[in-house]
Amino acid sequence: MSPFWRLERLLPEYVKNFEAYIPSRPDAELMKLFGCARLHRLNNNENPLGPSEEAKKAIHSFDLKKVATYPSGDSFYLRNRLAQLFHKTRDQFLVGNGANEVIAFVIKAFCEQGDNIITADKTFAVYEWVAKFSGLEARMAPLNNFEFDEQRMLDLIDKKTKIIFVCNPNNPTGTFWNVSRFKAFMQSVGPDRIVVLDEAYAEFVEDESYPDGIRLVEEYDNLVVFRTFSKMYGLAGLRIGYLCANEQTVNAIRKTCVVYSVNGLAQTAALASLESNDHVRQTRELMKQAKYFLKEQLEELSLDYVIGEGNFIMVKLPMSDTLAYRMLMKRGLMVRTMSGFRFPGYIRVSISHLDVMGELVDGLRFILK
Amino acid sequence: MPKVESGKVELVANSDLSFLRVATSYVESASLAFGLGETETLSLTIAVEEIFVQLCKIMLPTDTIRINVFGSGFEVVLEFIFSSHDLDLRSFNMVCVPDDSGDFECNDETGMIIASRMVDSFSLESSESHLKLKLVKEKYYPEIEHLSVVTPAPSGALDIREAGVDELKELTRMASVNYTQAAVPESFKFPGKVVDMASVGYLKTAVAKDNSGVLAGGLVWKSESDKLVTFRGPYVAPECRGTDIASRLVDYMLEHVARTNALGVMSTWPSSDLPTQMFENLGSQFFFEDGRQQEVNAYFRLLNEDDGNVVTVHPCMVDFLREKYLDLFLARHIDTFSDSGETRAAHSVLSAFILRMSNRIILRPVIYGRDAVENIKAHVNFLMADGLTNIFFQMDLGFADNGRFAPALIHNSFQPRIVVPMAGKSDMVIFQYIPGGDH
Repeated sequence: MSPFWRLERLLPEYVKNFEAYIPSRPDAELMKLFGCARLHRLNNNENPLGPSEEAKKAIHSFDLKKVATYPSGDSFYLRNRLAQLFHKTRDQFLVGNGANEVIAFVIKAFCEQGDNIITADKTFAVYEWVAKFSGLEARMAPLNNFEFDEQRMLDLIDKKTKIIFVCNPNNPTGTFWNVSRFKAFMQSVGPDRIVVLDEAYAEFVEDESYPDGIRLVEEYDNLVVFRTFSKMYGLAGLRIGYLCANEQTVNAIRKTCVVYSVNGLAQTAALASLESNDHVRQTRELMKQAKYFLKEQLEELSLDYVIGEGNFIMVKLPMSDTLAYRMLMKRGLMVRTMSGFRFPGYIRVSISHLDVMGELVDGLRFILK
Repeated sequence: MPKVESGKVELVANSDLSFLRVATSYVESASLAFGLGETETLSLTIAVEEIFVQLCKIMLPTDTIRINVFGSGFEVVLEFIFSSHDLDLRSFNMVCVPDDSGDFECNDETGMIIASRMVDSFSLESSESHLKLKLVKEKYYPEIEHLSVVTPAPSGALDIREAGVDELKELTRMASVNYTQAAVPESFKFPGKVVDMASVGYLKTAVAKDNSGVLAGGLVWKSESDKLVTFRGPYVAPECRGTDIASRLVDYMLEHVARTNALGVMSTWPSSDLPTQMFENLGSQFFFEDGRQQEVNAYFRLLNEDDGNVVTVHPCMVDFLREKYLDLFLARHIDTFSDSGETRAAHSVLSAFILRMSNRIILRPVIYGRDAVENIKAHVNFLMADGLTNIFFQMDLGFADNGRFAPALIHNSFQPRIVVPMAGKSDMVIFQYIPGGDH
């Protein structure tokens, strides 16, 4: 037997059948292969303004001696500050190495073999991935007119359902449930299952009917809310996100949490980000302008689009999205293909500065020729 | 879909002729248990006998052979798995290429040839230390002559969903009546087989139906390999031509394969209703039969973002690849290798994947050797004499040894026709033998 064969026998079926996600290569490698002089990354919904001035200052003045020592294992000061800001206790927060890590914490805490999770078919893929490579069933309810469909999700619930993931606003469609719709959903689900409200893009939403999940935690013991510093706060490179729930729920999730996974620089920068007054306002202003510009241009190009809350837009192309990706890459524009989100023929573009959006429009004009 | 019996049994035996009867009896019993008819079982048993005898000739009696039999409802798959260490792998060429040393016995009809004629498909796969001979024998199904019948025109909103048994049979009829023979898979002549293929999940299906259940269109697809999905269709009812049904059927398929292991989706025999703008035209291949030739475009699309790659190829491939990569906007850095006089194995080995029913053979390189030109020539001569006229060669650019076959292929009238991005370890170049083509 070759070593390969032994490995095959060791792997659980659900791992064997899972295809590993291959992230994109570093910019320099991509530019070399695609022959472009510069690259605009419009694929990961990062903040084009970067971190806030306060976060930048904190990063610049970070004490290098701290690099040699372990960080706070449970992000002590950051949780203190979050508690203060949201009028909660420190123990209602759990910080992870990006929101992706807290997804894994929650699934590991509540699910065992034979259980299932429920989410939508066309949403952020990580809920589905973590469930599948953990040997759990991921049940997917189809979206309805680009929105999460509560009835279809409720119809999928059975005795083995442990967690329901709602991405609000939804990545990649930007649609969201308002407060009354979300409350009605919580009512229908009842107290026997965890509902995760993923609010990765919450800070971009200005609509007053948008539910503030962290406030709702007081009303629902089974509600867990995710937030991240990767999007609005521009700290994607430092990997830091958190969850908020009632203390009892957080204590349960903490059992599966790997401590010391969040580095000291990330904690320091995140803490400073929370002190910024202008950053959110400036980012929202840029989003508003760039979205307005893009809408006008896409209409001129007769391209359909799906735009909602968040710092992204989905564009429907009259061609394969994966071909469009390569054509745009040759022009130094990196977008996200939507086939993997089950939206074949669509691309998702992160909203950025107006000049970059102008280059994108030129790129789209080129590929439509 | 009804449940179809499926399963696997396994036998490990020494490569000793005294176990021949054990091997044939085991395969016979397993095939019958998996639902193969007596005639088909007999053919498979003869194939097993030929291969077992041939393996005993080249292996030591203490070596072991594992024989797996899989039943999947519509076919029985037989695998011989054995260690390739210390074996003269020339025995696994479909044809024998004599050399000057005279140390290798060449018979006109090797056990491999006889076995290949007894089954519906036959192939050789190699890993680092093992070889796998794979034989497939299909169950007998009655052939149905599809008659044109008047059906009501679909109306109103259409629902796209997985096909049920009757819907699938209806689709085979609708496609056979309304499309050219080339656009419809051979299996559609046997609706029972198509239903069994779908029941075991080998074939995935989509149909478009109106509220009253009238069929408006359909599409079928399957996994060709871990990384590639192939499909047939879309087929659209005549009354619905020009609507968006074809696009919706394609979207349905793409949504279902989007989060699987597959990296690409391809159709080498698309229907006339394929929404070609949703795909990339990889180029054309020919289909030769009865002295006629038909040129068909292959359509493909990746499911993932291709971030570029480096390929190392023989210099004779550079112009072809550069043009193809430019057309497909694929970021590829092309490196070349050349023969610097290093010692090469004397003998090459090719695996022949023979699909008799569809008159198609796919040659795949196993080992490169100095006799590559003669070996390819011998394979072509044998296959053409056997009435198999559509001969392809799959070259995976992820393996340098594959690429070394390029000059020998071109010398033997093969032409590189298409490049399938990331269909193997790297891109896959498909060569085709063009009878009378220039050297």
